[in-house]
Amino acid sequence: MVSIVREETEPAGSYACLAVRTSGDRRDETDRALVRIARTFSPRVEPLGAGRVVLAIDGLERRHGQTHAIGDALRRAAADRRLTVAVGIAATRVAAIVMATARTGVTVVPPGTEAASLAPLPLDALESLQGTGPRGAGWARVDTRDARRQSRHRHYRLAPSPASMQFEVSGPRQDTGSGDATVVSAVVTACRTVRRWGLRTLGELAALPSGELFERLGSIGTMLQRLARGQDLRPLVSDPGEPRFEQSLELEWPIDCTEPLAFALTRVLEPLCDRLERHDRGVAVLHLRLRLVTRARYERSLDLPIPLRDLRTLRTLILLDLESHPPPAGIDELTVAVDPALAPVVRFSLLDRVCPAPEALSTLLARLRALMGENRCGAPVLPNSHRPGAMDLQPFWVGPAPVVSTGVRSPPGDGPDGCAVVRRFRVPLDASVQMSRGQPASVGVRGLGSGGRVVAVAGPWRTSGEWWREAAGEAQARWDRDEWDVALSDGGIYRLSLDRDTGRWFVDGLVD
Amino acid sequence: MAVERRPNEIGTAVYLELHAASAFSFLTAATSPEGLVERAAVLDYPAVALLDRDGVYGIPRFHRAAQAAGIRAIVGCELTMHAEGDGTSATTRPPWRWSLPVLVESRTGYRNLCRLVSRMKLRAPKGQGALTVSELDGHVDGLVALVGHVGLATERYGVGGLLDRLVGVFGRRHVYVEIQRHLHREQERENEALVTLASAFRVPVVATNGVRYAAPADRPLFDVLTCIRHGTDLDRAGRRLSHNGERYLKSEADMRELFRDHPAAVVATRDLGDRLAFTMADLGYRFPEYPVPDGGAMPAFLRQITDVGARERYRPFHEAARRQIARELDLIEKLDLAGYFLIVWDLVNFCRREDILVQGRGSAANSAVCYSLGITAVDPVGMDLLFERFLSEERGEWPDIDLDLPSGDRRERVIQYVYEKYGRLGAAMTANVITYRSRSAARELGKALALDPSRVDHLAKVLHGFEWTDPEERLDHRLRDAGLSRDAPRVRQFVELWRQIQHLPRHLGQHSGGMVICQGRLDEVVPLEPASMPGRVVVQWDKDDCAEMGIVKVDLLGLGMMAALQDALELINRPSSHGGSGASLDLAHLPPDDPAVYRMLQTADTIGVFQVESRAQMATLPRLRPERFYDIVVEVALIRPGPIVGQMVHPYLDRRAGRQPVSYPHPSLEPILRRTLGVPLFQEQLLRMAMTAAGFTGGEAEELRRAFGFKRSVERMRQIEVKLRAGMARRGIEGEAAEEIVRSISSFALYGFPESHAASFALIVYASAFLKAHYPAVFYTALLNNQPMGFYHPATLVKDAQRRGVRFACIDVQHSDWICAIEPSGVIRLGLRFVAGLREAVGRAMATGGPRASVGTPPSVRACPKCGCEDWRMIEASGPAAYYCSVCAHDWKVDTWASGADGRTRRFESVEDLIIRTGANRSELATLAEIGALNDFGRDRRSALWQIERAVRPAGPLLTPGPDGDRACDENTRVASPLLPMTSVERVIADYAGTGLTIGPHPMAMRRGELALRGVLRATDLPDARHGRRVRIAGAVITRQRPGTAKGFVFLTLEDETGIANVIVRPEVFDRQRAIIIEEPFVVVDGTLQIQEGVTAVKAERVERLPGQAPRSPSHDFY
Repeated sequence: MVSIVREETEPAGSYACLAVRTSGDRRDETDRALVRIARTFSPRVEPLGAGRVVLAIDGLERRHGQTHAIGDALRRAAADRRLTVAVGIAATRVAAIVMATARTGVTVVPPGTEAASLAPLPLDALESLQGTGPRGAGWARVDTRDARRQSRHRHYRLAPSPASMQFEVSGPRQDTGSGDATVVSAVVTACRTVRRWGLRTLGELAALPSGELFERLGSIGTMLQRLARGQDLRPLVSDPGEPRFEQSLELEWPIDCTEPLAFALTRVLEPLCDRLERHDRGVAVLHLRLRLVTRARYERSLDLPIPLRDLRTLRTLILLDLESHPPPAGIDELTVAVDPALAPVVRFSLLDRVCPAPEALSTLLARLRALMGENRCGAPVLPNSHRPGAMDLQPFWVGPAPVVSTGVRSPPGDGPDGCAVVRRFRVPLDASVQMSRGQPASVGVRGLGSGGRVVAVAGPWRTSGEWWREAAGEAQARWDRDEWDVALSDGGIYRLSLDRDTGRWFVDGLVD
Repeated sequence: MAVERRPNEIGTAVYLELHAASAFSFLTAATSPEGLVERAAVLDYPAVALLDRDGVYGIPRFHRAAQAAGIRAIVGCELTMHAEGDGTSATTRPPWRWSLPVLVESRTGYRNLCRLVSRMKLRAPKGQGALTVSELDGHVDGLVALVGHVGLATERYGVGGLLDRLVGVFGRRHVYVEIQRHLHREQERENEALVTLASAFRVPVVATNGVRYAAPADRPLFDVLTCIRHGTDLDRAGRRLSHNGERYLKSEADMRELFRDHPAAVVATRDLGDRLAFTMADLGYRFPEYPVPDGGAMPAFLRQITDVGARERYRPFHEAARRQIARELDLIEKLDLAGYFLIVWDLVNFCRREDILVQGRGSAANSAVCYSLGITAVDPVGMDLLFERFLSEERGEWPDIDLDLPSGDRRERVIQYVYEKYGRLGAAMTANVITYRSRSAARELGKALALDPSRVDHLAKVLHGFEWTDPEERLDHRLRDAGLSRDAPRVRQFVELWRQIQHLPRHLGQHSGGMVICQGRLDEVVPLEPASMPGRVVVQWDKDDCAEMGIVKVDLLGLGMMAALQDALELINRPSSHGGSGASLDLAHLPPDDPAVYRMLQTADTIGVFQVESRAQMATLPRLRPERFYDIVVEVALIRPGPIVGQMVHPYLDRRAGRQPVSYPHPSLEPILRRTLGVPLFQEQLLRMAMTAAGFTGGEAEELRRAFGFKRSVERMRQIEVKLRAGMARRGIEGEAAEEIVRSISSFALYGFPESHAASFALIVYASAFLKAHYPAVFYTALLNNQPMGFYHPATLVKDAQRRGVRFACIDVQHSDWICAIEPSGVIRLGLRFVAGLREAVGRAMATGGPRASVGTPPSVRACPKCGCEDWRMIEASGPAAYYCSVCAHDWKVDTWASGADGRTRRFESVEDLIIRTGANRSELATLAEIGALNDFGRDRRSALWQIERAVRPAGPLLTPGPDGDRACDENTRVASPLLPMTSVERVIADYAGTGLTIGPHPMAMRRGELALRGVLRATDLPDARHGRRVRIAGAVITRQRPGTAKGFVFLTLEDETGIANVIVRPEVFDRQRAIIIEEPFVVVDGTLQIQEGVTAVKAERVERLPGQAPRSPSHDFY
């Protein structure tokens, strides 16, 4: 649907805003698509997030015709990408954004009528302007995507993204979070006050005497009033776009073994690593996309412990990964894309040891993963549990030593504190035990081929826990067992365990 | 079972459990004291010791259960200790706490224990108290200490240092080294060290199991309680959970086997158990003695003052009264209770001196001595009340006198008087043990089991439910409602744990009014704790435990209506120059049988009247049609669970209306039941029936009532019933008559109401109704000033008052006090206390902001052109030269605008002046502006809002006015506002949001036109409509009720601008429309009209929400 406020005869708008109602799940994807659409029309594009993008459309009349024709062209371009957008075109960014958000179809605001056009809209329309004010003096949006990425890749710094840079034009960068939150809170308070005054439309807010409004709400009040009148608080801040680190190679004949693939990878990685070096970036995550002779696609992702950009290492990592996860058919085309990160840090403080060479470490971990399998390689940690012998694995990473206090102490008898050390079998061995007067009398250990009469015994030491998992069909998680430390006539000292649920005996370990 | 064993006999047992904790250790143990005893009885223990954390909270229940099971209850406690210097600012060491189990050997030991715990508790915030070893010195006679693994704390006390010090403090004979064996490796290492240490210090070793729950099956609950204590869930609790499930009460054989390598430690439990001879049977408690003048005897003094009082009360002092008083005094003297009566008399005298209304109630009103002493206001002789209900020789219990006092400051003064008179350590409030109930249990269990929070929240709400529970609507049904399947494993565990945790103690609260006092030091009888309310001290036992332990309690109960009555009398008796009537009205001398009062009661015009304002009472009043005082007594007692469950309401009303003949179960009962037309309504009648029909004595009859009462036991009931039948048979009452008597007694005793209590309440009913009938403005002012109280929200009270012609003036900072006040013209000026979010200090500063001057009528306002209202208090400026009538919601304009400068004297010159002098903040000012309390500073509410935003913002140097320009007081600037005035609907919404009430038109009045088109009748239309016709009504839901006795029916009360209408919702309709009925503030109801004996109700068939803009009106919901 196209609704035009007035059919103009000369170019009217300088800005267009595309807005699409998106669900939370697809928000990022839609935002990227909108930016791509906008870039096909103009190099001056400002992504706003939440399904909106603003672009400067000066000069497009010569290509598309009248202003509403530009709007139609934008809608068609969006429709080609299966997006239904509302387009607002106005001489100010604010008016364009508000119209695109409040209306459907194409809405063109004739120059000089921004305030009148916005006047009937409800005050809620101000919410659509969140993120359009100058940082520190306006209404800034806190972009949480950086924070999410930071938390995911905590071992390296990310390059600042364009989304978080867009507000920096009007003043020095401030800390995210508290400063923005204060401004947003002030705006929310001001909006609440305005509603308390009985104002319902932007026009009513715009009509208040500015001086008196300033006396009551300060600069926030005048800012809101200027927005309600459709006036811009700052110019459009164009987003130069994230440099893309992606390289493809279409092969003349399929590759189905490693050696030619190494050559092909070199051709792909060489320019990619050059570009990474020029931008002072390393590879945080490497994505390998293969098109196979069967027309199927095969993809792998490698999450690197330290950002690196050494061609040979990257090539080795890819080859190692493909050795353990070979594609099912020959390769027709290969593409390597990377998630960039700042160059690696090799030493975090003078008091820390120098990190291992990134290339060597990454290669070692890749070899270990190839050998052991996924999820079977990492750093051991002691979980917070009474479960005997419990151990967890966490991904290996290099960084400053974390200060972690779990309050978990090693179980007594398992450490070199003057006591004997128990060497645990990660897979306990089956044992046969004869009991006498409630204690083990003789033990046979099949896995070790040893056993004998019990000459000394201590126990039982009883532990049980996670009873709540029993009913959840997680019988393996619940435990209830007795442990005995026995010295056998063969001279060995063993730790036996009895599963009280099943009555089965095991040898958990032997004592040095 | 061990019931045959005498409690003090240990017999041949070798092992006794000397270290067990109950759920009174609050989240550190999982079994009730009774549960522990039950398990101990099964295991054939001769004695068990209960050691709860820092108190003897569970000891009375433990003692009682143990006595019943034939087990000796050994008393002990785990004292929280800390090292010297820990927790003080002088040291940087983190506080380290440990617990010292102590066992009581003698009464001296028990006293010392109570004093130690009291000292620890009273000097520290709740849960943070601790003692040092030095503080124990000199206060441990009769106590035995158990030193466990803490004795190895070498980093604090050095090797053996703690044991050495404890031996020094307690004496070698009173210290035992305690070893426990829960099958831990670390513990075993400690045990070896402890045994060596004990040998070095020549201290015996004793084995215990440190019991935290009765049986192995209780371990999950113990783990869940641990999670609740640490604020975590099972998946995250990790090593905070128990290592295994070994801390249950094990059998003697198990313990002997467990400690077979330390047989002496097992035998030592028996040796120590033999020494611990103290029992709770005699705590040495004595009720304080009253200081009789000239050192005379208390009984004689009581006789003297009773005689004086009786001559005052009984005019003439007739023979019946003389006989009754003499009989009572003889019994009081025989039971040595004279001191008790004198002390209660002293409290009543204090109230009289301090001009505090007081009235005894409960069974005390059966006593002519209490009546003569002025403790009660009901003449038991005149009303033929049964003294045995109050006091009997057979019962051997302290009598229970409850005093009703005005709630609030006046009651607090009486409590503080008791503290001052008997000392801070001689008097305390009784505790109220807060237990896990359905809702709290569901919430905390859900968190511990890591169930989805939104589901848990929903589940907690549905588990809370209404008072009544459908048998079919049990847990499964409610789980399904919450979207949970019982087949899900976590849900199954939830259900099991939810059942286990029910009624376990959660924390200690304070009873609303029970006070215990003691001759000497109460902290030697029971440990004292600080209450959360400043200046209050609370004992560790609840009222039942206190009674069980023989500690006398006086209930000082706060009654909102008493406070309202006292306020009302003060207003009435105030000289006319101060806004009062100058009358001299006294509650004791109200005109009896006032026709206006009975007319009001008969028409159920009783909103705000004590006790008879509920929906059920209002539905009964037109059918009962009270004509005299005794009818009010009956009315108070009739709408109670006892008569309702016993199906006595309808027979009584039918007999009263002559639809049913008056008959008696047996002719001998006619004198007893004649006053209630053959239907037993009071507990006294039940007692008399037993006395007359079965020849019971007064004491036996009271015993019968208790056996069938709230804490009924099947065994006891069976025994008493046999006795009752035998007695009736001896008197020739058999067959149907006997069955009817037994049936009425057994069903009625559970919830019956004493006649004396009903009579005491009836006096307050009459007084409040009298004030409502004759001094309505005073009555409603007093009610509003004592909110919250009663059945209805202030919004309903205001509307009810307005329908009676009472006029209100809006809240205005220039005129309002903190509380509501009556202006010389008779108008009630609403008080600032109703302003939401207004701090009391600020409100009181506003109320005392300046001189008050009489306020004249603005010159241009004459009357509302629509409704003719001439009361300018109901007329509000709504714009330039425009006014708004709060009576009919009419807006109109006049030719000349009367600005605020009308010559009236103000407390505050401007908003700025108000801010400077009161310190009101922006939010408070905005609320005041929105409700019209700042209209004097502008034209209307919005212009006031406009003004305050300017006033609260600092101007800055640029806009600061120069010497010739006053920014604050520029009248033109002050009044001018570009904002539009509020509409009628906006005003009402703002009123409800800002004060919870409105003196303007009822929200329904504004929609009446639209509703009339939809065929919606008004509340006043219903009595004129035909019975049985289909009607549609609408209104604000002011009450929602689902009584336990109504079989799932829900009762709604709807209010519109004409009055209130009752709606009955059938269970199936409620199930279908539960969300609307529970949550919507305004509803439209389609249903059938029922008119029976002047009682009107609509039987709902469909309930809809009333769409559109409406305020959030308050309601009282009784679930």
